[in-house]
Formats: sequence, structure tokens, C-alpha cells
Amino acid sequence: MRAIEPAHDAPVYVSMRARTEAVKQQLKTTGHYKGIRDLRLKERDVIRFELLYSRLQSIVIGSQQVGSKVACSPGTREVGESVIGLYTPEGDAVVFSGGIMVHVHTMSRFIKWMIAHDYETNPGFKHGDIFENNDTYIGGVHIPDIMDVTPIFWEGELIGWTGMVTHVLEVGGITPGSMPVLSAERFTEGLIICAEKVGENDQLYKHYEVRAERSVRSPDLWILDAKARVTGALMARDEIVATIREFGIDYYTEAVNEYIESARRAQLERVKTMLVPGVYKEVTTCDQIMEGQPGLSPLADGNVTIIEPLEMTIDGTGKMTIDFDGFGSWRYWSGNATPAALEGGLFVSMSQALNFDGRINHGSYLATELKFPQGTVVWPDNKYASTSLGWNLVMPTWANWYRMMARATYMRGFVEETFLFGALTPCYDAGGIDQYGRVFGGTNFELAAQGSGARGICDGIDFGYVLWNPESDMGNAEIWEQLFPQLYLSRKILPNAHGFGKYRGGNGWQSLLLTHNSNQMVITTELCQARAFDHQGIFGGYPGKVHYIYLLTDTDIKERIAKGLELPTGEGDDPLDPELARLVKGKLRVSHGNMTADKPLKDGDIVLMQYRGMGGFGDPLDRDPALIEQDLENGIVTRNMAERICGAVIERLADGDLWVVNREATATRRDEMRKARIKNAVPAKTWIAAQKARIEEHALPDVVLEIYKDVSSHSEKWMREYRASWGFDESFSFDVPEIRDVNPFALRSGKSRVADNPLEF
Amino acid sequence: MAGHVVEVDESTLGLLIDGQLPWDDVHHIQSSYKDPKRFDTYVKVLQSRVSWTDPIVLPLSPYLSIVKNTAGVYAVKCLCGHDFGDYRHNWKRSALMNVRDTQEKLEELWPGPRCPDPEKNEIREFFCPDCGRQLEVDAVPPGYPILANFTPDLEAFYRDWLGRPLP
Repeated sequence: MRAIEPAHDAPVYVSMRARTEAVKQQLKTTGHYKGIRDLRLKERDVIRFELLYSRLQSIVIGSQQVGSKVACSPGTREVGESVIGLYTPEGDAVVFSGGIMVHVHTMSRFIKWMIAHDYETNPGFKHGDIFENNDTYIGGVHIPDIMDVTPIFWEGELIGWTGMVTHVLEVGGITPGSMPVLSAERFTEGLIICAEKVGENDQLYKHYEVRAERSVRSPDLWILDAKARVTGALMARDEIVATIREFGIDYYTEAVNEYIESARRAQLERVKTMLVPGVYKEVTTCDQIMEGQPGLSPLADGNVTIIEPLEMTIDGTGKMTIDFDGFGSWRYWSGNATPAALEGGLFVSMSQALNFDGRINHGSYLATELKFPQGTVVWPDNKYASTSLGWNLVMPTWANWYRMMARATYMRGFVEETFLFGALTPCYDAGGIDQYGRVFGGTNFELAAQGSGARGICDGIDFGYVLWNPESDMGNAEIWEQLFPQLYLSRKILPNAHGFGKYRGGNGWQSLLLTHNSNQMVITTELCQARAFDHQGIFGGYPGKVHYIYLLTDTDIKERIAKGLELPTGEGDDPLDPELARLVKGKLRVSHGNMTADKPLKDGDIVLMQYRGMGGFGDPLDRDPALIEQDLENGIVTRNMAERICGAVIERLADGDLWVVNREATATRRDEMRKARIKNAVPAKTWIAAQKARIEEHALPDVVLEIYKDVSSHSEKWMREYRASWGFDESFSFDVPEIRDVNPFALRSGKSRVADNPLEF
Repeated sequence: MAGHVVEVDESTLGLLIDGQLPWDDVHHIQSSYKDPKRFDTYVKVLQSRVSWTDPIVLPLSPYLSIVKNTAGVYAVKCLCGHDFGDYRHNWKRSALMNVRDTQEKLEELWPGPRCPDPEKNEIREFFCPDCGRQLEVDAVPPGYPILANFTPDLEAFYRDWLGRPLP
């Protein structure tokens, strides 16, 4: 093996495992990635340095575009559910394309895991090898995100890796689609590939395709996605080798290491330029109501509600330390996550909040520290715990972080960067027999375009944002109609789906879908919160509404169509009297959160799917009347809610169709509302005293007592702060027999630490 | 043109804060390197907009700032002049509150199926006792401590990041 860093006098190592360990040690002893104190190449000739970087970035972006067109899945082809990354030999991320950037890091984890488990010896690393993984405890968020990596060799020596991830729409789980919500253990998640060599000589093995054909419901989606990933990774590999011929191997090797070290330094500087040091704290909740739903494992916790308290400390050096201490214990449900998933979330989040020039790589990660409590939902000490809906946890967690970022940028005066981003993005999986009479399964990825949270200077993004893929796209309705036995009756704005505020959150929308030419379509919903808030507004803005869907079965829709009667287009303006149920006869089910339909849907059954809006910014009484008028005209807000929440006095022009907000009357009304707040509110001190008495008697709803008992059983810090907050002494506890212990299985480590050893998973 | 630092003057920043700057100009600022003088310009703009004279040390939100008050205390102050006291004590504990902890109160904002479960969540609205502005809204489980969203390290901010002592 050659020296990993000859220009910096690094020692020579024999194995990849030893080299990887050495890189960690060099950081610890020198404070610099691979001990790089001087950015020699950058300082010597910055143009050449940047030219190579641009070339590498162009390569991964171009390869992603070409690779994704090999797929037949609309998720990969249309919606852009993919990413390509370039890695050092040790698996450290250097540069990546756009797309689902969470996997810049999960692929890194995958490569490091193979090295740590001595794959270098068996099965060995050779030119043309293809390694695949979707095991989340090795590196991933949930199993539909499948990654393929291939080593890059130069004159027989391993000098790096390229890899590509796509989200595959059908994975062969307990229910059709890609994210089986019923999965309580990994054994029902679908087909899991555990860091496996799946091809050599640039070809997938035949048996790889055979297994897919016999293990998933829509093997064409799986296999062509695999070929797309292999195409992308190999194309990037070959172009990188060609680029090395031009720049020279020594220059390339030194430059990629400098890109990482310079990103580490830039990250610290960015934090110091844009944020404010101190301690940030937020909390959100995450819940799932599954009790009584068909197919639930006897092991499963049907109804789960957990809290996600997040603490971030920014110190004087610009380092961010993010601590997950206080998260609930892992559960037998599909909503567990792994440290790799949360770390990946950091990448996709930072690429939008701080590193929006695309300069994010392993160096940015090294400038932050993420601390995970083992035994919790963010680090289950049971590697069979399902992570099928890992995103159900990751999204609210990073929504917390976005609120911190929004606060920090606003304090620092960078109000144009203040942005609440988003949280959970509901979607549905479907499967059964399709309109062509074939077995099918898939996820409708129109979910990839929802409402964002508000911004510091304007409303959020309507119908065009998800936090996990900044290149948001819902795809054409006709494409989804080809994949599913469903016809769109409408895609439409969903009124009042945003959080209200001076600037409202981006608004949500709805799809009304008619089951067509199939009498056996199973449907489940995922990535939905049930009836707890997974996000917040900020500075007086409210969160958006909770999520639910309508299922209308045994309908008379075909008769209505035949008679030419009015057809529904959605929920309408009043959720208390939904248009769908008013116009169409049938058996109605309104379901909150993730759910599994009792029976397969049949021809003529209807699904009304909602896509969300997010939190608002500022006091809604400060909202500009002109923006309210605009929202009324566009059907984004209804008159009654604008009047009630924003204090608008609204009139309809007699000679036309326009809504008008009476400025003078609105100002008067808002003054009255502010005075009413003062009159009707209570001093916080009074409220706190009353709450303390209530808590002391454990006179809280069972669901929260169970949360607090669970968290206090493994987080000394959380309980210490809880007591201090309410003024309790050490004798106060939730550890009493009257409160149910929701997870007697989890370890009680009581400590939060960095999960940096791939051998632990 | 991106790729360089854009210094934003007081009048431009005022428009930006108010959401009145044309989008092309906003985009230009977003695409450029961040202005290291921005914080000082920001404080100047905000200081010029308030009727009181306590120097702003750190803006916290559109409505609140940490100021150095006449008693020499670094205190949280509302636009209207209400003083919430020492910044190290959570200002929310000195605010007025309206808590939406029943189905009925929550349904005023989220009617019918849109309503969260009051057993899992309550909405805490914090108001300024003098002007009635809604300063923050927290959605938390019942019994959860009042969130202290941020406690700044003022010393480190001024000394290490801005390169000057605390005002």
C-alpha cells in the first residue's frame, strides 16, 4: 500500500482498516483531517485547485443524470430520488451530486463498515466489484434506499470509491410499497442486502437479478434501479480516472484530502459568520396510532408517542454539538432510526441551512459532533428493531434543528436565510393487482413536493418542498396513473393547510384518486404524524395542521359520472363538512397518521390524500392584508380562518369577485384582539404554579406520563433538567408502578455519546 | 454576481427585514458570500426603529432583543419597551400565557379532523404583558417544561466572534 498522504509525511499502512483507524487518530492528535495543517495546493494555485473540484462535481452530477435515466421508476427518473458521491479510500465523502443528500453519509458508513469488517481480505476489493447495501444498521435510513459502491483503482491501488443511491419503490415487505408501516422487526421490512458483493467486472451477478425477481412485487423497478445505480457509479469512476490522468495521481490524492480539511475549516467559519454561540433547545413529538390495524405483529407497540428533545451547543470555536439525550426508548414499531440516519440527516440539513454552495463533505461532519443515547429510538440496542419508517423519526428531529437555525440566522441579521424548512412528508404505498392484471407494489412519490415552513422575509414555499430532497418534484399525474390502478380526479390546493403567522408556512395540497380497473389494491400510509405536532412555528407563528386521509369505499361515483353529476375535487373549504363525503355516497373512513386499509380497495373506491404545509413565522396579527387577499383569491386560506387567526376584516366587493381586507377595520380589530389577549391570558408564574401541583400528583394524561417515565429511566440529564424546570427536588420521580413501562427491553445506559465505531452496529 | 461579499447598507437591510426588497435583489444577496458587517448594520437598523435608548446587544426575534438596560443588566426587551429582566432567566416565565389544552380551544385553530390530540399536545401562546404581541408559540406535550429556546454565550459572541468586548 502507498502512503495515504505522502505530501504530509503520513506513515505507510498495510491494511485499509489500519489506514482508516490512522485517519481518526491523526484528527485526534493534530486537530486536522489527515494531519493537514497547510492547504498547500489551494494556496499554491487556487484556480487549479477549484478547477479539479468543479470537474469532480460535474462528474457526479452528470453521472447521476445519466444513471437515473436507466431506471424505469418514476421515483428515480422523474422525481430525482438519487444521489452520487465520491469517497476517499477510507470512505470519507469528498463531493456529491444533488438529490437525496442524506446518503452522502450513509454510503460513507457503508464503506467504513466493510473496511472495519475486513472485506479487504474476504471478499476482497477489486476493480469492477460492485457492493450493495440497504441494511440501516450498516449505513442507511430505511431499506428502500439502496446503495451501490465500486472501488476506484489506480495502478493496482485502491484510491477511492464512487457510489449511487436510489429509493426503490417496492421492496418486498409485509405490505406492498417501500415503507411497510406494519413492520415491527426487520424481518418484515422487505429484502435486505447486508453489505454484499453483488457483481464483478462491472456486471451484476445473474443470481442478484433472480433473487429480485422472486422477492419483490415489482422486480422491474428494483432491477432497473440497480442498473441505474451501477451505471452512475461506474460512469463516475471512469470519468474520475480520466481526470486523474489529466491532473496526476499525487495532485488528486492530495487535493481530495484538502477538500475535506478545507470544508472542516469552512464549516467552523460559516457557523461563526452566520450564527450565534450558546445553547439551543427544542422539542417535537412523534406518534403513531396502529392499534387494531390488520396485520400488526403481536410484538408491536400499536400506539407509540415519543418526544424528541434536541439540544445544540455552539461553542466559541464554531463547533456544533448536537445531543439527542432525552429521546424515547426504541420500540417494536417501524419508526426507529440509526445514528447513520441521523448523521445523514445532518448532511441534507446543513446543505440547505449553511452549506448551500454545495461545499459539504466529510470535513463539515468533522466540524460537528452528534451524541446519541444508546437504547433509544436513535440507536436501538436491538439491531432487529425495524427502521422501515426511519424517516418518521429523522424528519421531526431535523425540523427541531431547523427551528434552531432559523432563530440563529435571524438573531445574526441574515434574515434572508431564516427558514423553517419542513418536517414529516406523508405518502402512501399501494399494491395488489394493477390495471394490467399484474402483481404490483409501489410508493407514489408525488409526496416529494409539499409546503415548507415560513421564511424570515416571506411565506414558505407552496407545494414544492421536502426537507430530504431540495430538488423537489411531484412528478406528472399521468406517470403515476401508469404505475398505479388509480386515476386522478384532482390535484388541488388544500385550504388552511399551513401554519399561520406574519409569514405563513408553505401550503399543502391534495390528490383525489379513483381506484380504476383493479379490485385488489392494498393501501397504507407512511411518514405521517398522527395527532401530535412534529414541527413548530417560530416567533409567534403556529404549526400546520395534523395529517389525515379519507378513504371512501362502496361509492356511487361511477353512477355520478354516468349521469354527468358534479364530481368532488377534494375536501373543500370546510373539514367539518368535507365535499367528498357530501357529494359521493359511500363508506367513509378518516384516518390519522400511518394506517393500513382494512381491505383491498376496488374499482370505484376513492382515496383523498393530503400533502402538508408547515409552520408560520411571527404573530399572525402582523400579517399584511395584501397577502391575506392574495391567499383568499388563490384558495390558500378561507375567510373564517383569516378572520379568526389573523384578525382580518374581510369584505367581498359588490360588483365583482374580489376579496378585500378592510385595512382600517382590520387595524382596529387587531388592537382589540391584542387587548383581549392581555385581559384573558394568565401570568406564566401563575400557570407554572398550577402545573407544578398537577405534575406532582402525576395528574397528566397517561400517554405523557408513559413518555416521561420512559425518558427519565435512561436520561439522567433530562430528568435533572425536568426537576429543575418545575422546581422539584430529587424525591420527585415518574418511576412509580402506576405508570406503565412502555419499553422494558431497552438498555438504560443513561449516557449520550458519539457513535463513531462501525463495529458497534 | 455571486462569488463575492455583498455589503448590505442600512436602507437595503431595512427593506429586506420588512420583506419589501425585490426578489431578484434578495436572491443576489442569498447567492453571495455573507457580509461580516451584517450584524452591526442589523443592530443599527433595529436600534433606529425603537423608541427606547437601551443599546441592543443581541436581537432575539422580530419582537425581542437583549439590551443593556439603564441598570446595567443584560435584559430581554420587547419592541414596546417592556423589560422581561435578565436574559439568563427564560423570558417566557415572565410573559402572559394562553394555553390551548382542550379540544375546544385547539379546534379554534384546527377544526374537526385537523385538531391535534390535547392529551399529546398543548399549544402555549406567550404574549407581551404590555403590548399583547404574540412573541412565541410552543407545541409541547402537557407537563413538558417551558422551553428555553436559546441561551446565548454573549461573552464568546462578542470577544471571540466579533472581536470586541461586550457593550
